[in-house]
Amino acid sequence: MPLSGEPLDFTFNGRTVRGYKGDTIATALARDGVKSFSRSMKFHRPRGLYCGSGRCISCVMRVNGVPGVRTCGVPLERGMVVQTERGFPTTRFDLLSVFDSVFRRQFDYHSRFIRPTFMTPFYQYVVRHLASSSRVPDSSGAFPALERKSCEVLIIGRGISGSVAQARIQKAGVRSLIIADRQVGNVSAPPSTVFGFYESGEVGLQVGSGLQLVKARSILLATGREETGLSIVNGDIPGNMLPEAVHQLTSRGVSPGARAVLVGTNELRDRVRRQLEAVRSSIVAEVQDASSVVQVLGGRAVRGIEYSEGRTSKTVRCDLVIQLGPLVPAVELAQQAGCELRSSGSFWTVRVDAGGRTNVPGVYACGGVTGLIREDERISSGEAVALSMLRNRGGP
Amino acid sequence: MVVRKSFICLCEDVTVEELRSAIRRGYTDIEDLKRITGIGTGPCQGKQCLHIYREILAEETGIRIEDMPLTTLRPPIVPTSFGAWASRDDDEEADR
Repeated sequence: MPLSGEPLDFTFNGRTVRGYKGDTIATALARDGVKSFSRSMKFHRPRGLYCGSGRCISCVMRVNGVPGVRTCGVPLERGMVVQTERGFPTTRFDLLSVFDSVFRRQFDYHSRFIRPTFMTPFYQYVVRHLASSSRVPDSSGAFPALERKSCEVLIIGRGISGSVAQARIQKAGVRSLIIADRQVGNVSAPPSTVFGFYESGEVGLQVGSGLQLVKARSILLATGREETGLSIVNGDIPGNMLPEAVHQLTSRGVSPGARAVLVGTNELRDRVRRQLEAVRSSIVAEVQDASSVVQVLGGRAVRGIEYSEGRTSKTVRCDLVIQLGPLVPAVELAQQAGCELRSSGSFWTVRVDAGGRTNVPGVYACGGVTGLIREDERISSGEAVALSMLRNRGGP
Repeated sequence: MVVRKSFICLCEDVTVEELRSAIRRGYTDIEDLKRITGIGTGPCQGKQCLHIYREILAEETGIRIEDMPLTTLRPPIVPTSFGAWASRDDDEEADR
């Protein structure tokens, strides 16, 4: 895939790296061959780009003096100073990874490091350094004051059902409209991410470095579903990825790995296959039943996977394991809004009527968060909810 | 090399074994267990782990998964910076 965009040079741990306009920090680093992005909190296990959508913390680094930045959600800029920040002395060679070997099964901080009590200050020092090596930001930064806004319609989520509803509502002439992202990883400018639904009925948005509280006459929850991983052995080390990370890399022409193994299955499987093909990554095995995975092999990077096939155990060499876990409806905001949720097996979905109305006046929902899976159904739910919102205009 | 581990919660580094052992020690309420293990309290706020968490808890306690409650998912659901909160200067806050 040819790269378009002007080159943008930045520094990574003091070394100059070339990225391109349109990259996130993470895609530029991955193109450069960086695998270890951070270390995990307790065991100091190596972690790399994993979810690609700003949810996990596997890719966090210090960027321009600000700690804890998710590199998968930040557009690259020329001259950025990017540093790994987890691990002692460095992320690549982390002596604290001894905790991974010492605590082989679990690390329960309620029963460890509590006796003798006179040692408490020392323990606190150790645990604090273990949990994070982040230092405070270089400068306190400038943050705009919290803003209060109001609008007629607030749409949360830019997926297919939310976009369909947005188009309908805009076409009907509603001007007072705010559209917000549900995910941090969406780098479409200007990103505004919802962080909460408050009792006052206000919705919190993070826009750039500032916060907004938005009061809307009607709110549409089109929050969709979350990609999830699988609890397979060593499914956390660099080279394990979720489909969104594959999407982010391949859309920038970066190969996530030369030899991929797909574990589990969900509707994103075909998309993942196509995207891998486009960057000439080959799929060397597909293990649909995640419980047959014995372990992922490797340390600082994935080197293979062992799984059982019938009675025999197979080991396949690979550098990429793509986890296709269940897609889980993102009900957090609905729960905070007080919407009635319905349990469906392992998940919860938002209960709505035919017009997408929840039990909370003025709060609507459509698409994946209401339990719809098929694309045509999600599209038609977006249309239906838009019509119902327009019908009820002027009052909930 | 890393030691073989499978995780439920990547943010708080909670292994499947840690969760199972806490359940066996008697922490069978979904909210208690969240507090004792830290599952779902990290930066992702449970986006990746809650369904597996509920499944394992249901399996260990014999409660049907459909009857297993959801934990309370409080705001903020994505990390926000302290600086942004500290800069709030609206009247409501001043009145408190």
